[in-house]
Amino acid sequence: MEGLSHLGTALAALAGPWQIAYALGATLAGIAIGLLPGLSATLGVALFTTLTLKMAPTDAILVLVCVYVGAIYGGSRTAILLNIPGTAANAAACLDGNMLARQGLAGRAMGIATTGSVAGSLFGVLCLAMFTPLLAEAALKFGAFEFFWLGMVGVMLSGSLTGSSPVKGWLMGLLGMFVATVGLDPIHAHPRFTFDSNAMSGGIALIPALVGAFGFAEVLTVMSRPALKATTNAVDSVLPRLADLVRHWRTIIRSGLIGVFVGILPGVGEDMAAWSSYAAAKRASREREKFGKGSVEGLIAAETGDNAAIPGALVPALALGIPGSAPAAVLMAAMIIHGAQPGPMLMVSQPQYVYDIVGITLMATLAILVFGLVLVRPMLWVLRVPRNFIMPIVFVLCVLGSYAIAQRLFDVWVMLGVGVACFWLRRRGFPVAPFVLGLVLGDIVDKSLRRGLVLSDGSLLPFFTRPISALLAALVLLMLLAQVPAVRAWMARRSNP
Amino acid sequence: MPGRDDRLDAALFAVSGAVILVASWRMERLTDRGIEAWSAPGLMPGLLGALMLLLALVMAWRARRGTESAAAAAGSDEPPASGGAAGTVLALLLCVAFAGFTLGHGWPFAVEGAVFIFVFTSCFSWSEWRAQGRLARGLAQTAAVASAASTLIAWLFESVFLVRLP
Repeated sequence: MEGLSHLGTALAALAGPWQIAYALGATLAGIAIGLLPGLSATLGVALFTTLTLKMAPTDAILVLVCVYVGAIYGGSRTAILLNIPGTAANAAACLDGNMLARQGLAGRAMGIATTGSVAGSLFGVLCLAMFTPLLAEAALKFGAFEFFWLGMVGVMLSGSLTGSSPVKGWLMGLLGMFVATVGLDPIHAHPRFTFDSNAMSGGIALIPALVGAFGFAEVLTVMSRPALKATTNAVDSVLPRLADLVRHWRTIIRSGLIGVFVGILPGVGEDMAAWSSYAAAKRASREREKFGKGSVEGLIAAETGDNAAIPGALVPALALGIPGSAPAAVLMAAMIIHGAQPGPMLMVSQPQYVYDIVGITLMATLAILVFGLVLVRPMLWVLRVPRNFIMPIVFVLCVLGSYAIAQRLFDVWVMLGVGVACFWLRRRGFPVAPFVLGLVLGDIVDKSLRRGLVLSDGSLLPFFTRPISALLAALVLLMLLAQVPAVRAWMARRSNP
Repeated sequence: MPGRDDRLDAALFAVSGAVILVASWRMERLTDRGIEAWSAPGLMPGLLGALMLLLALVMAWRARRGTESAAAAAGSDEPPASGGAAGTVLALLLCVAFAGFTLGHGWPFAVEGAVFIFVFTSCFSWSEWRAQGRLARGLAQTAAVASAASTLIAWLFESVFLVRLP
């Protein structure tokens, strides 16, 4: 009941003309970012974090959530028309979306994507409102030992699931955690790896590093690839059909559940949610043979899954201070910049804040429905702007975005350094998402490990004997064991007797 | 040669891990200030360096057996970009020259930004414009877009977000 009252207050505050204008404008900007191959939701949220520094906290988070939701939704357009995912989350939508476009049903495919995205997002919002308070209450019992393992599970899980090889993913996660330790030690204020530089003493700031990893690295990646042309410009009716909702309600609920669950897993993100939902829909479908050849069910599953993962990724970010995806990590950093402290105490100290986020996500969902209905065709012109014009402008925004927070040129160098490193590592098959998670969680893991050891007087036992710690430690061990060839062979024998 | 690439990457991470481990071990433990050894500043980086070294050795071992490359081929979600080395190097040089060396050295940001956008777009579009016989028009269009975009971005940050531009 108290939750409903908070939600009512949040929705009333968001009904003002400025808030509606911010929501519509930011969602439109997010859709444009998602439409452009190479520009990710993470980059969009990172760049807009710098643009919203002077705004009121709730308005700033409203803009950022709308950019996030808009970008994930907008990416499906590029997947359908170009067979190239606008963001990584839309890769699964390419399979059936582009096949429908090739059959002359591009508009229908976009309508289906809108249906799936809105349904998934609404389902996720419901879960966000229900699960965040429950998880936050459970997390009040967590101590330094549990937070250490939670951070480790996040980085390990992200490394295991987001890249081509778990070992490479884990190495990136460790690298991110190491970069987070550069600067003054958070407990004793002792300089670590600063090389006697004042600028380095402040540490590697999150936003310039993220803008480098997802902005500059993307500019270099896009410029190293051949230019793409849309396969079709003529689109049929883009209106979402109620019949699709009714016919595929089971797929929508299943994909919504999978999307929220995968979103809640620390650091895994929307792309894995889309693939998992797609695979589950294919397994359960009576028309399995149509998947990959223009299946409406497949497209709905993929789009419902990735959009449901957005509110899902916000659940651990708000309740535990551990983001569920890379864009959620940037969003969490923005929340901290704007004075909130995500984590178990958030529900105690600022319960209204959680429901503000629920209301904001709901508003972003309504905005994508509006744009899905009225602005699909005009938005497609974005795809016709040559990348040779867009990329230098994006880079100028990356430079100013890195510089604007602390107004120091050192952050621009951080952006350049991280960008070049991430570009090179991505080309070598190392995923960037675990690096981002490591960067965000490095501080909490460092502090939790050392606080835990101080509390236990140097004993490692509580890290393995407290019930939740033991569970999380076992999860880490399982992920490691799953990569041992003998264990993999045994698991393969068990699944295929 | 993915196997050789993986061994090279593994070696790079192993060296980095070892350097971090040694530097963390040699870091002050602050025991003279009465601080317990298990809250020493170098503990976490040292642990990370050791894990990095260990995983790099695992990666090198897997690369030797060929399993690392097989795993990458089976599940890569970010395939390495093919070709385009010249484009990458040119983009890298232009971006680093603008952000690293010309920014904050005298000219107003709007001018530097416009010059960067103009040069970047012209370099990458030059051959296409020449083939289409619209070199002069392309350059004029680019100059207009670059000036407008840079002025708008500079105004937005300086006047709306109150950022003192470099």
